[in-house]
Amino acid sequence: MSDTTQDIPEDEIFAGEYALGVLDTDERRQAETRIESDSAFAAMVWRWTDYLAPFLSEIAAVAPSPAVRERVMATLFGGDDQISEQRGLWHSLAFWRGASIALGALAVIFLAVMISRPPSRTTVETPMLIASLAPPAVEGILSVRIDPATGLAMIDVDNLAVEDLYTELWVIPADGTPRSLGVFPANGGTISLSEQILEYLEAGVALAVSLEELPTGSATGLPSERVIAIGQVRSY
Amino acid sequence: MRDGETIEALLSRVTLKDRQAFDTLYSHTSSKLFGVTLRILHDRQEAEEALQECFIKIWRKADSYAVSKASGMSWLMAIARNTAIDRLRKRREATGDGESEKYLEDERPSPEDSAVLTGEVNRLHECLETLDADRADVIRQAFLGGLKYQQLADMTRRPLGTIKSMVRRGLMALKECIEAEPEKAK
Repeated sequence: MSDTTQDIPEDEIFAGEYALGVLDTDERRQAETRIESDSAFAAMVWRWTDYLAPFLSEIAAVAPSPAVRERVMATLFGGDDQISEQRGLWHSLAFWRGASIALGALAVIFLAVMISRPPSRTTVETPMLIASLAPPAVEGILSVRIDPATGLAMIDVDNLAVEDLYTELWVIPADGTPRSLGVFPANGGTISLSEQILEYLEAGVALAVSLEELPTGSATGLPSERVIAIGQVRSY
Repeated sequence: MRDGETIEALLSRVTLKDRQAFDTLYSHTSSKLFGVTLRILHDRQEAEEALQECFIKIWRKADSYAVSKASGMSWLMAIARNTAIDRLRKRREATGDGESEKYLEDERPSPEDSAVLTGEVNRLHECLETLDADRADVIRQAFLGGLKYQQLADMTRRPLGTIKSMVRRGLMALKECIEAEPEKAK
C-alpha cells in the first residue's frame, strides 16, 4: 500500500469520484449505468458513500417550507393510476410481511427488481428482468435476470445463508396469488420458465423468494412462511 | 445508535410502500437533507425543488436501498446529493461557468445536528486529519459543495490535473486509513 494511485484499480477511483461528486454530467451517467449493471462497482460506490457520510455532521439541518411535504405527498399519493397500482402491491405485500420470518436478526430481506428494456421499439416488448437481493443483516447477494425471449431465469448467488432449506422464486401478480417460478440451487443456477409464468412478469408485480423444506419446492402450491425476499418489478 | 436503527427500520417499511413510515421518515430526515441540497445549490427555492425530487425518488426507489448495503442515512444522503448535484451541473451548463461559487459559506451545524444521523464512529474525520491539509480541504469542499473537478481547479487556482491528482490521492489515502485497524490509524 502506498500513497500513490498506481496500484489502485481505476474502478475504485471512479467509484470514489462518483460518491464524492466531482464528476461531470456525462461521467456521472456512465457511473450510474455501471451501478445498475455491475454489482461489484455498485458495492464500491456504496462503500465510499458510507465512508464519506460523516461529512453530514458538517452540514446544518434547515427546515424546508411545509409546502415541500405537501407537494411530495400530492405527487406520490395524489390519486393517479400509479397509486392504485402501488396500493395493490402494498396489499399483496402486507400478506408477505405478515408471513415473513427473521433470518438472522432481520424480519424481511428485500428483493429489488428492475426491467431494462432494449432500445428496440417492437410492439411485443421483451424486457430483460433483473432482480437483486442483498440481505442487510446477513451476508449474501442474489441477483436474478429473466430473459423472456429465452424463457430463462438466471440466478446468481453469492454467500446466501439458507441453512438446509431450498430457495423458491415466486411472482405475485395483480390478483395477489403467488405463482412459483421454480426452485433454484442456493448457490445459483437457471430456471426454465413456462409461458404462463412469463405472462405474469411485468412492471408492477412483486417477486419473492421463500425457503422451502422440500427440494421440489412448496408442496402446497403456496410459499412457506419463510419469505426472505420481496421486491417490486419496475421498468427503467 | 438508535437514530440509525430508526431510519433503517423506516426505510425497510417504505420499501413495502408503507405511507405512514414514509411520512415519519420525512419528518425525521427532511431538515438534514434540505441542509444537504441547500449547501450545494445555495438557493432556497431550488434546494426545495431538489428536496421534493429527492423524496419522490426515495419512495419510488426504496427497494434499491437494501441492495445498496449502505447505511440508511448514507443512502438518503446520496440521493439528496445526487439530485442536487445534477441540478447544479445542469444550471452551470445552462448559465456557463462564469458565476462565482459561494463555496466557503459555512453554516456550522448545531451540536444536536452533528450528533445525530451519522451513526458510526467517525473514522472519516480522524483520517482527514492524517491527510495533507490541502488535500483534505479540497475533498471537503468537493463533498460539501458538490463541486466538480473544474470548479475545484477554478476555486483553488490550481491546474485541473493537479486537482485531480490531489483528490484521487486523497481519496486513496482516506480509504487506506478508514479501512485500517483503528489502533494503527492513530
